[in-house]
Amino acid sequence: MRYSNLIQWITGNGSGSCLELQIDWDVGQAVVHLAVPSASQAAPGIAHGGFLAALADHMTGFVAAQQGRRGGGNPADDRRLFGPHAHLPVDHYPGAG
Amino acid sequence: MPTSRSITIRAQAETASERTITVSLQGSIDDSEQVTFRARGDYARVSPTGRHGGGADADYDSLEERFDRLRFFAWLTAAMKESYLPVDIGSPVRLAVGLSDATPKHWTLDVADRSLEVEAGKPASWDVRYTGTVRSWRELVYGVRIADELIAAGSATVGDPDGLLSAFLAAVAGWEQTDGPE
Repeated sequence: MRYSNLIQWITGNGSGSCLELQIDWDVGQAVVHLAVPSASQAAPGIAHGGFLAALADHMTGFVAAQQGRRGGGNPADDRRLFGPHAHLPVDHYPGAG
Repeated sequence: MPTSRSITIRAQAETASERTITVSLQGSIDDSEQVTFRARGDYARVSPTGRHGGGADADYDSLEERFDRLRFFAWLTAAMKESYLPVDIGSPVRLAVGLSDATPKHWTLDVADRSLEVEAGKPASWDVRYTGTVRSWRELVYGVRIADELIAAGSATVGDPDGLLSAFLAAVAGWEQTDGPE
């Protein structure tokens, strides 16, 4: 499933210069496979935390939106989930791997 | 997270209540399956009434007076693309939008289950045709007024032979014409 919006560096713009992130959505789980680009490097060989945070923001927002569309709340309010990010901590283990 | 490595990121909802959804996420390196980062997002559900209805947080009527009509239409278009979510609308829907108070006057909107594309120009064929002012288009998309109201007021004309306008609005605005705006 391609989550298309204006975040072109994540979802792509057809130029081939973006992540072209493709989200697989299956049984309530979003899965992304990608090769961490060298351009995301901060410390040598390590992706910048902001890069990971952007991916986390993108994917958690996608899941929340999908979940919101599938009910669980007041049907009258369930037409669209707009998700202000109240809290999005990212635990990053830069030495891992 | 090391660069130049293949990783897999998985995210799923942990809890979902009437008002909040908590999503957890973890990223791991494919070779070793070692988890290298985790994240959690807490999301709050916002009613379309709070977002659009009554213009509590934005006076669109005044904004439309202050800015060029085409610029305002571009903002609407950007907002539509930004808020678009993948939905199953069955088949692609092509809209021909005609603006009576902006140039370019003709726009083509293509909505499929995975994308929304907007470009200037008059399509050779269409599923839905809408002609009206930029303001009427904003009122339709934001659920301020339904199409029948706009038509009755003389603000717009709509050609919708297959009844697809509702599916379009559900895809780009999150609500359907059948029950009207809140």
